[in-house]
Amino acid sequence: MKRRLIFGLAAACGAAAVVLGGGWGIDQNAAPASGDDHLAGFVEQLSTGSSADVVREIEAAAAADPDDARAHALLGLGFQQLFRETAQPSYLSRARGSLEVAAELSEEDFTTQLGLAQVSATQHRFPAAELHARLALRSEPRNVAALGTLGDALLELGRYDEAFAAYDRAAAIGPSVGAYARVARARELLGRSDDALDALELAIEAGSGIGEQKAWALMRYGGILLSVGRTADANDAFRRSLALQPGFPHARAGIARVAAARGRTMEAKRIFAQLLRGTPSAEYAIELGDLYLADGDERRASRAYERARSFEQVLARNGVRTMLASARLDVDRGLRLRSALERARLAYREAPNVETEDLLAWALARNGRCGEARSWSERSLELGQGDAEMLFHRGMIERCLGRSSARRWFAAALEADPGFSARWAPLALRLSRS
Amino acid sequence: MKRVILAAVVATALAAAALAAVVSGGPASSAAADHVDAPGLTPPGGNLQLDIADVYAWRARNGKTVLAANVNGLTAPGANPVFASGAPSVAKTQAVTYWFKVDNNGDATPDVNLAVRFSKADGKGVQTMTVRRNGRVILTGNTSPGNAVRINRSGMVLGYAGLRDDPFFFDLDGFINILSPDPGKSFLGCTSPRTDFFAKRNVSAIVLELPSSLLTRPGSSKIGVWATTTTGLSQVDRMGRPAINTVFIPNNPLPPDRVSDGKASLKNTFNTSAPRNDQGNFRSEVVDTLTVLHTLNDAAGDDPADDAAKISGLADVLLPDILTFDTASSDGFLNGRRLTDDVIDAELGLVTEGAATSDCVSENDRAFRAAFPYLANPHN
Repeated sequence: MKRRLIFGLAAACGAAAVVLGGGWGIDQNAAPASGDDHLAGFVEQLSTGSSADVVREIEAAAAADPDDARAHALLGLGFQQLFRETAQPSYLSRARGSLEVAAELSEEDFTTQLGLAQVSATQHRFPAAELHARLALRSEPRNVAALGTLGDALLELGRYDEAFAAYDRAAAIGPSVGAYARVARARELLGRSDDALDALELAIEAGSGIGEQKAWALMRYGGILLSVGRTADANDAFRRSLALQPGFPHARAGIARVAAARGRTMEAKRIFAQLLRGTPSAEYAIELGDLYLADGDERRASRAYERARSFEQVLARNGVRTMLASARLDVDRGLRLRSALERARLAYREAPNVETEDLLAWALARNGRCGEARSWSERSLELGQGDAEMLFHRGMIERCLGRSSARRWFAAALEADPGFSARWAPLALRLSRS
Repeated sequence: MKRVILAAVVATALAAAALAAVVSGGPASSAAADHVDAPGLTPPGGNLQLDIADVYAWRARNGKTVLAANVNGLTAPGANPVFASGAPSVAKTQAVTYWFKVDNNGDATPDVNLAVRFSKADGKGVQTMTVRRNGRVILTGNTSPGNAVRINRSGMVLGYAGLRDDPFFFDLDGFINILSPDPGKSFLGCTSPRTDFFAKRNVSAIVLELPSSLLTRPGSSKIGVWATTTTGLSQVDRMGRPAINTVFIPNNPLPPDRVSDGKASLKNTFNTSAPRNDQGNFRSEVVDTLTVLHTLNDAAGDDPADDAAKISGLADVLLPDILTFDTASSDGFLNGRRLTDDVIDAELGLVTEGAATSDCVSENDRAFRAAFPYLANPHN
């Protein structure tokens, strides 16, 4: 899963993140605004680059008429957009606050419910995201943005069949970049990488007249290419994405990952360090830490991980559920292992999906409870064949149980993605040969 | 009061286009003759590739019939959009088809189906193109990248697909501001040329030229044409005459007011439905809009007593939304639609009972080619 969902500032799967020139699209899974979202005009206005000005205007309108539900709802969306652009977590709490005021004034309003669904997803509060998406769909059953957010919430809740049905419905009603990218994500989870690439190629086509959307789809395309070891193609996709959207952080991170996969760790570290100057992303901090650790520079690695932790803490203070992220960070580092296991259990209870099953397996293994770990690992690999990291965890579990099959799992992890982690891939390589 | 109501109707019908195009200035939002015919500021399905901007049908000098349909409306110079090749669901990727539907016996159902499909683009942006007539392949070839014109031929059938200048011309801003008291905002009463909103914009065009006998039935030269886009078996968009959905199936017609009566807009219902049901589904919407538009000339002394009859007659013509065309005639709109036809002027006079007769944009910003594929080269 290669930190696809995790750490970062809110994998706002589904939030209509507009990837802006100069703004930071935080979540790789969140497509640019698309579909028959009647808020697109507002989002578009925001995306002209004057979001802060627009939000100030709405703020004044909401202050002038505190009973204006519409103004509060739009303000909530405005703060969401500012969060996407600046990655400042305080905008998340403000977004939720405004939307909750709007909901008190007009409970069934579509805009408010969609906004609450998207903020909830960004905050990793998936049951709430499902609830609000369903309320939004009650007034607009064919709304593609609401269907997408519903699918995202269901996916995180491990209800895959329902999630895929929501994605299919969204793609049928709104055959657009965002919908196709969600389909790609589903195919990827099912272990059908080639089909996922096919869906992203169609997404790139669909966004072909629109630089920003094409840039976003190309970035996702590069990510999958990299995960299947097609480094040169991935590099090409990231560079094409960056050419369309100069400064696009996810494309730059992709280029850093390509550099790391090619052993050019200096370059990779330089790019991640640069990115972290503008984007407080725990995901990038962890990858930087992994690169330092692979070099044996434990001091710098530690500092990068602590930075990731502090980013997560700020997110948590702004309503984001960070149990999974914090547990994973500690389990990987071998710190606070018992508490990390408890957090992994909580993360699983909140979002019982293949990713938390894998985390639980890994946390149990690191606590020496490898028998239990094995059954969780089996569950995590039921949906698709799993990604390299999940396969690597399984190898470690088999090894802990003293089974010779461990080597096969390490080999499988490397075959899925030879550069899946700067930190763990070298170990997997060594153990696959031992 | 009537003026206010009309302003609301017009604004609703086209505000989307205005906001989208004016605010963002970008191609994320579509607007051409059938532009912005889905709720909100997005093309049908949120995908410009599947959003039909315009449909044309005319008699070429050689006597054959030319059919053209444009997608990827409002493409900015320099952008190189392609045609859709497929639409994925989780389980499988379904084919995308661009259709010309031809009715040749007047029952508003297709008798000849021309289906155009494209492959994914290669590294140079070229797609293969396959044209089927009622299921049988009649032409294969390639799209033309950039300014190039590659004509695909098979016997008497010619086919072209690629980037072209948008042949539509219209003062959209002037229409949105049709009742503005500020001088010059509206085109009402204009005497000098006004701004073509679609100037310097490109579209992806599909142009076919074929013997009319492949479209007509024996004994009649008359056909009705409309275009659709489909993913798998689902229809995403359709269009016959210019601006029918855009103007007559508003998001918020007055009356009935779609906001206050809580019903969803019928625009997407229109896009996904079939012409043969248009009278039943949409006649009341069209009559409502025409009723408001027919008040425009009341202040000038028009006797509204005969409005109802005129409106009823117009509604008979406007629906079903099919471009009627006598393949034996070189006349233009309302006989088919030629590239040079000023369809807006033709429609304005009809639907406003003569209150507005011209938007003072009477020709395209680029000269059309004399030969196939007729549409002008794209802007770079």
